[in-house]
Order: sequence, then C-alpha cells, then structure tokens
Amino acid sequence: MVLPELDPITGRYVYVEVAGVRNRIYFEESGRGRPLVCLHTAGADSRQYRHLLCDAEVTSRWRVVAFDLPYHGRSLPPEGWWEKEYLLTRDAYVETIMAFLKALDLERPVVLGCSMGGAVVLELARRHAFKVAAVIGLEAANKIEGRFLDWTVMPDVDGSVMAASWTYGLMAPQSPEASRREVWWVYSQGGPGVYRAGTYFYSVDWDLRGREEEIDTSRCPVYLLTGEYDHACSPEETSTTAASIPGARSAKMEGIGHFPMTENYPRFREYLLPVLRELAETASA
Amino acid sequence: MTVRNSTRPVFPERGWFEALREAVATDTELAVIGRWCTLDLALVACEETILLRFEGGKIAEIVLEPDIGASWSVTLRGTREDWLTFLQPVPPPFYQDLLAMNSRVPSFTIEGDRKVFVRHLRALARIFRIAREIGGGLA
Repeated sequence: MVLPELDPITGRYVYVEVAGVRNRIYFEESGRGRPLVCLHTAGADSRQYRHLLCDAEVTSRWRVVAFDLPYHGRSLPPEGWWEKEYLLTRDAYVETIMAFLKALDLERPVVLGCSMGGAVVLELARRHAFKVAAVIGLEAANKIEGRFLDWTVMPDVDGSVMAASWTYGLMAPQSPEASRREVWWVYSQGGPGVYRAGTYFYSVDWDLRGREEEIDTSRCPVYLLTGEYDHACSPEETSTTAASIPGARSAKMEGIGHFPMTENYPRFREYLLPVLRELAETASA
Repeated sequence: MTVRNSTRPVFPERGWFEALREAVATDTELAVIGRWCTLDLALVACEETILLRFEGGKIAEIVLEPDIGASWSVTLRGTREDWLTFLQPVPPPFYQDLLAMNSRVPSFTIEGDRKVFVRHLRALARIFRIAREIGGGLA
C-alpha cells in the first residue's frame, strides 16, 4: 500500500461566542510549541497561510494556528446575516480574535496578521498587551486611505472577479505567477460584500493616529513588515507608523507586495524567521 | 506569447500597437476570458492619444490621434515616461499595475467611465501584461 502524501495541516471547527452570537469558526493548525496565530486579509481566508503552516523550521518550534473569520472561508456567517449589512468594526474584530484565543486556550500567543489583520494586531497590542506576547503586522500602518469602495456589491459588476482582480495588482511582478494566481483564486471565492466589509475596518474604522504611544512594546513587542510593491500601504507609511510607536521595529520587504505569505513565501520567510527567532530567544531568556 | 526581435517597435508607435494586437489575438488566456471584453479605451502619453477598440477580447481597431468624431469610455492618461516605466520587464514599485499608478503616480490617472474599467479589470490586467511582454519600455 502506498501511503498518502499529506500536508501536516489539520483543520477543525470551534464554537466561539462573539457579542452574544454563537459562531462556528474554522481553523487550521500545524506544529508544536508556543502559539503563533495568523490572521488573513480582507475577503480571504486561512488558506493564505498554507506555506507557513507547512514550514518545518517554524512548526518545529511553534504551534501555528490560522482561522477564518465569520463570513470568510469555511466559517459561515451567523444566522440572520441576510438582514444586515456586514461591516467589520474594530471592536468586533478584536472581540472575535480574543474570543477565539480564549476558546482554544491559546495563552500569550504571538499574533501575525496581514493587511486588515496587520492593522488589527496593533489594536491587540494596544488593548491586550497582557494577553498577547508580541505582534507582527504585515502591510499595516496607522491609517490606510481609499480602500473602502462599493464596486464589489454593484449589481452590474461581478464582485468576486472584481475583488480578485482589484487586489491582484497589489503584488510584486517578481512573485511567482502560480502564487499570485492563487491569491486571485482565493479572493474570487469571497462572499458578496465580504471584501468590502473588511476594507471598512482597514480603511474607515481603523485609525491609530494620535494613539500610537498607547502601545507598550516592552510588554508586547511590535514588528511591522511591508512589501515594497504594496500600493495600498507603502513601506514609508509603515515606517512612519513604526517610528511613532516607541520601541516598534519595521522593515521593507524587497520584491514583495501586499500578500507576502502567499505571493512569495520563500522570500517572505527571509524576513519572518529572524523575527520569530528573536521572539523565541526573548521568551527563553 | 512573447514577441522579441532586434527592431522591435517602441511605445507609442503604431507598430507597437500592431504587435500588441497580434499578441492579444493569439493569447491563450484571453481566448478563455476575453469573449466578454468589449470596450473603447484611450491611452494618452503626454500629447499623444491612441484609441483601442476592443471587441470580444481582441483589438478590432487602432486609431492614432482620434478626431472630434470619435468617442470612448475609459482614458488611461500618463506621461510617456510613465508608460515606458510601466512597460519595463520588471517595473519599479507602484509602476507594476494600472491601479497602483493611479494611486501612487501623480501624473497617471484612470479617467472616464470607471465602472466600465472595473468591469473589464480582469481582461485588461491580462492585456497590459501582454503589453509588458512585448517590450518597448525602458530597458
């Protein structure tokens, strides 16, 4: 008998109550060690982290967990979704993440997020520095302009194709085509209005300006990494934000765009692994 | 499809658009997704205007310097330098994509009926990828 070729990833569902509503949330995980929780981008899902979840150098030291927010991927929207406009708010986003951490009993995890996930980790660091060990924000800044638009919900626009094509150009031309097409494919599978709902948080409700110093990086270290081709959040906007958060560290990722962990994982890990090593050393010191 | 020869035409010469027309007509991806791509699109490079009429994902007509009798729905306006930078094999950051240039390159804009642009985004992304493969941009 030939053994099947399996990814090391396992997927399960966990029930999580958020704002009095019960959600069935899908998550994938791989590895053993300190928890590293991964947050996907607007309108996408945890598949974006499949390469990280399969990276033995990471999973030998970290329990990597990536979950789909309600409405995203395999996490269905809560009942009654058809009667209200879905707009992801800062409070709801933070509450969902914290409820998920509690449900899985993930103690003091490092939280890694990209795009809207990259922005929200700064809010986690601000509000929950005692419950989160460190945050790594990809493609994040204190304010993101111009991403909340109605195109994807217009009846004479194919919202799924539009969201996928709209975000496709955020990537670096050097990234492997198959990987960029994978990002496109995942985006094309978002539910109607879901990408827009995420950009509501990322580009409207999210605004850290004037509150950067409320983040205590001595309790919760902050790392910000942004791809040089990202035109939604430029490396300069990220470095300016990092400079306004005392103790925060930032770097520009060469030859990468807005979806580092998916569009070019081999290149991204060159930036991520030193951060994870540093965090591992800090924890063991 | 990649077109390469030593006397390759340079953007925005007519020969360059003829090469684009040929490459678009034989592209395997546009054979799949181009059938529903019909729009009139003008490229402006400083003082020069080139109108491309797309029908079913193919360039049906190339009009250099369209007169007052011609109309179209979407205009992509930039400097000649913008376009030549965009057409490089590996363009620098913010020149990799029309939307990137629209948001980060002050001299480049997407004008006109933007909903038409958005509705054709997938096909246009492929068409301009082919344009980059033709070359004719900065070395």
